This record gives sequence, C-alpha cells and structure tokens, in this order.
Amino acid sequence: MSKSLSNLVSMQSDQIIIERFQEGAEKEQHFTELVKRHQQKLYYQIKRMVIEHADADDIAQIVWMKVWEKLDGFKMESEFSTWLFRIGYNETINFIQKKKKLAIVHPTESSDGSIQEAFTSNGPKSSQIQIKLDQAIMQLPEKQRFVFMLRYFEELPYEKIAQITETSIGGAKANFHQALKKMQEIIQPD
Amino acid sequence: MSEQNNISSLDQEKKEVQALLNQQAVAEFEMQINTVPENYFEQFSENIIFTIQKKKKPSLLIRLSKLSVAAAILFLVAGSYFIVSTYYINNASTIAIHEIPTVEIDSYVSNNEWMADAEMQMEINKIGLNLDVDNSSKDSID
Repeated sequence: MSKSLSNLVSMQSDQIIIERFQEGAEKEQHFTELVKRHQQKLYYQIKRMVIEHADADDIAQIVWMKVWEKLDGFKMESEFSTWLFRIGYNETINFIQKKKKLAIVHPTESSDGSIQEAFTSNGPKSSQIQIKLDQAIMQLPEKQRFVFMLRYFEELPYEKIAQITETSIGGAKANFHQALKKMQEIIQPD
Repeated sequence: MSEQNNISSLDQEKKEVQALLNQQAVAEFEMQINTVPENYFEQFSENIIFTIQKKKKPSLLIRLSKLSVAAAILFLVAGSYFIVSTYYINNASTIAIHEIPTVEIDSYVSNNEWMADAEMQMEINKIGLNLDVDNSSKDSID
C-alpha cells in the first residue's frame, strides 16, 4: 500500500471514529481508539521538545483532555492528526514558556539546566558530540525546533507542518533552514 | 507529483542534516526520546479515560447543585406568594359591615352621594316614562 493510500485509509478511519464519537454513543470507546492510534507520535514529538518524560506525559495528557473537550466541534476540515499536532504544538510552547518564566522567578529551577541534566543523566553515555548536539537542539527557538523535529524525524510535508504551526509553507521551510544554520553555527563555530 | 517533490526535497534536507550532524549522536538522541517507562503506552489511554471520568463527576455535582439552588429560589418565591395571598384573603374575610365605623360609612356615602343621586334619577326617568304612559291612558278613560 502506498504511503498516500495508507494515509487516506487512516484518515477515513479516523473520520469514521470521530463521526461515531460525535453521534454520542460509546464516546469513551471511540476516543480510546483515537488515543491508541496517535498517542506515540504525539508523545515522541512533545518529548523531543521537552526531553523529560514527566513533562512530555503531562503535556500529552493536557492535549488529549483538550481533544476530548473539543472533538464534538471538530469539523474535519483538516486531518485529525494535523489538528492533534496543532494542539500539541500550542500546549508544548505554552509549557516551555511557563517553565522559562518560572526559571526567571526561581533561578534555581532553570529550565535549560533541567533539560541539560535530563540529557546527561538519563541518557546513554554522552559523548562530547552528543552533548554538543543536544545543546544545539535546545538552543533553537521553540518554533524552529518544532519544525525541525517534524520535518527530520516525522518526515512531514511542509504543507502539514505549516498547518500545524499556523504559518505559511514558505515560513515553515525558512524555519527548518534557519534551525539547520543555527545548529551548524553552534556545532561548528569556526 | 507534489508528493514526489516532497520526497526529493526531504532526501536533500536529510543529506544536509547528515552532513552537519554526527549520525551516532542523532541516533542516540532519538534512542533517548524513544525510551519510555514499561507499559507506558498500554496504560496511557486508560489513564486518560480515568481522568475524564474523574472530571465528569464534579460537573454532575455542580449541575445538581445548580438545580437545587434553582429549586430553592422557586420554593422561596412560591412560598412567599402563598403566604402573602393567604394573609390578604384572611384579612378581607374578617372585616364585617358592623366593624366599619359609622363615620367612615357616612363619609363614603356623602362622597358618593351625587353618583347615587344620578343613578337614582336615571332609574326614576326610566320608570317615570312608563308611569306617564300609564297615567295618560287613565286620563283618557276619565
């Protein structure tokens, strides 16, 4: 089955599940089906942004709660996964910004510090190159980081990335290339 | 066509990234991201449903409390209306004609005397016309 055909089948199936959810019968069962289908991709994308499992889990729960609350009003004008990732994007950005503000108020709880710690303590033996890459990723502005992760790891087309991040296709491409340039500057300063 | 373009541009971009970033470091980053607690995804949907159900319960309580407040207000309004109307009915039924002071009756009569006179005159006129008819007939006999 080609990728586009499988996407189409997946989209139709999502649509059927959502229609049944919106009809009102056995809502929890249909919702569980949607969660099972999409939870991993959403979780991994969030975790690439916040690194720590506990944070990624919190954000993922908030996202799914919002999906539960708003799914009745979802008009299926875009794919469900696009809508889901858009909520995920907004919640992740909110979370990171709140954490940054908290770090300003309480300097000991530095967000960057905790992320760096998460990299060095939880992960496998970190080489200098590994640490440098992690630092480069974490130094990217949130939007550029999100776009970079969606493009490189999730291999999403720019049309979809633009819809998720509510920007133009050109804007999404620019974000990816700016991210790449910035990482190059950090990793290879000379 | 656009999908082919996307694949070729994605390949190109991946090559750019691979040229820049150490692939082992990228693989380690992804491995770290993919490390999750045991059975995390198996339990995640259950946890979400549990949270939803937990959130639902207070909303039911809130709805019930709103209903009970509305019922209490309705009860107060209906109760006070019942008490007030009963009071007026009771008051009205206890007043008897002999309990009204003569002065009040006199003043009522004098205030409404001209009205009573006018009404009486109208009645007399009506009856008077009839009497005239009767009288004329009597006259003709005489």
